[in-house]
Amino acid sequence: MVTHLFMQNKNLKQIFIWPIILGVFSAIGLVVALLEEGALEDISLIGLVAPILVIVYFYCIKK
Amino acid sequence: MRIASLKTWAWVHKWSSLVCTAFMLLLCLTGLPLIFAHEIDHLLGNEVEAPELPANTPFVSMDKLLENAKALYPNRVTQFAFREIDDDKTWTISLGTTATSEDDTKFVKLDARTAKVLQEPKFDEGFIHIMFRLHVDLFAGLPGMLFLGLMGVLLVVAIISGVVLYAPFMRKLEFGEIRRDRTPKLKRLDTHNFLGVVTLVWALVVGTTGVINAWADLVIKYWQFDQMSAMTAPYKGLPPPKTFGSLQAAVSTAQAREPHMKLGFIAFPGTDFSSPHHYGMFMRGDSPITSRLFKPVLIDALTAKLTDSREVPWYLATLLISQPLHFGDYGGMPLKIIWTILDIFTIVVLWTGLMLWWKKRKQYIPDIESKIRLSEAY
Repeated sequence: MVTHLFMQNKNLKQIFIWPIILGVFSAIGLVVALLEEGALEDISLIGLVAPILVIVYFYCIKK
Repeated sequence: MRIASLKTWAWVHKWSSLVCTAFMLLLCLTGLPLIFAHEIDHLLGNEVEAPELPANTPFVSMDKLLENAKALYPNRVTQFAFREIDDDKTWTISLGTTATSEDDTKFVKLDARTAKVLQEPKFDEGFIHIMFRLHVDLFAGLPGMLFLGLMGVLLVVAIISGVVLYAPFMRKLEFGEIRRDRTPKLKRLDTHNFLGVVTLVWALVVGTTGVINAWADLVIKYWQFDQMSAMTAPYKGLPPPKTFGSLQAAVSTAQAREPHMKLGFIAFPGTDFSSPHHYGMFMRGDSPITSRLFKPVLIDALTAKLTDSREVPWYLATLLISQPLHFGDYGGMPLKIIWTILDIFTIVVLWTGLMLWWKKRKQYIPDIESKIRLSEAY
C-alpha cells in the first residue's frame, strides 16, 4: 500500500489507543460478570465480545 | 526507545516465549475441552441426574445419605460430601481408605430427597480426567503444578515484553492492518501482533489466575496451618472421638449460623478441611463472587455445637476468586463460548510466534533495528 511511504511515524498514543480501549472493555467484561448476575451480564458480554468482533472485522471483513 | 533496551526486550520476549510455548500450546489445547467439562460429561453419559419429583418434596436427613453411602463401602472412611452449585437434588460423598488418602477414592452420588444411590461416578478416569491432569499437573502432582505455574509466569513475561515490542513494529502501520499481499512472514508477524494485542487483557488475566491456581495446594496448606489450627486450638491434645454425632444436627447448626448462605460442601472429621473433632461445613453465597468465597463453619462432631467460624483470609480469597476468572465458568454458556474463541486466538498467537522464530532462526539479522526496518520494508 503506497500510503505507507508517506505515513508519519505514529506516536505511542496513536499506537496504543485502540489496544487500551479494547483492554478496558475486556477488563470491564471480566469483572462485571463476576460481581453481578442479571442485567449487568449483558454489559459484561459486550465488553468481552468487543475484541472478538474487532478481530473478525479486521481479519475477515476489511481486506 | 533506545536500541539497546529494545534489544533487551526482544531477547526477553524471544526466550520467555520459546521456553513456555510448547507447554502453553498444551494448556490451551487441553483447556478447550475443560471449558465444557460438564457438557462433555453429560454427553458421554457420565452424569446421572436425580429423577423429577414434586418441587416441594422434602430433603431426607443427611444421616440417611451417609448411612447409604457407607453401606456400600463399610470399611472406608468418609472424606467429603459435595454438590453442584445449581443442583440441590443430589449429594456426592467420597470415601477413601483413610480420611486423608488421595488415591483409590470411591464416590457415591445420592438423591437428596430419597437417599437412593444414583450412581458411583468415576472422577479419576476418562477423557476429561486426562485433559484435567495434563492441564493441572502433567500427572506429576505438586511439582507438576508448580512447574506449569512457572511456565505461566514466563507467559506473563512474554505478554508484557510483547506489548513493549508492539510499539516499534507498529510505527508505520494502522491498527488492525494485516499485510496479506506481502510475504507470508509479514502476514504472520501482523497476525501475531494484532491478535496478541487485542486479546491482551484476557490472556493476562487467564495467565495470571492460572499461576495463582498453581499455588492452590500450598495456599490451602498454609490456610490450614494459619487458620484451622487456631480455630481448633481448644481441642489440641484431646483424643479424637471414635464415633460421631448426627451429621444432620451439625448441618442444621451450620445453617442456623449462616442463614443466608448455602451449604457448599462438608469435610468429615480428620480431613485437611476439618479436624479430628470437627465437621468442616463450607458455606457459600449465591452471587457469582460470594458463591466462590466459601466460609468455613466448624461444628463439634460429637455434640453438633458450633466451635468457630471465620471469614476466609485474603490469600485464600485471592485463590478462590482467581478460579472463576481462569475457568470462565461464571457467566453461563455465552461466557464459555467467548473463552473458547479467545483460547483459539491465543493458540494462533502462540503458533505464529513459534513460526516467526522457526522460519528465521538460520537467517542472520544483525540487530533489532534492522529487524524492524525489514518488517516495515515495502
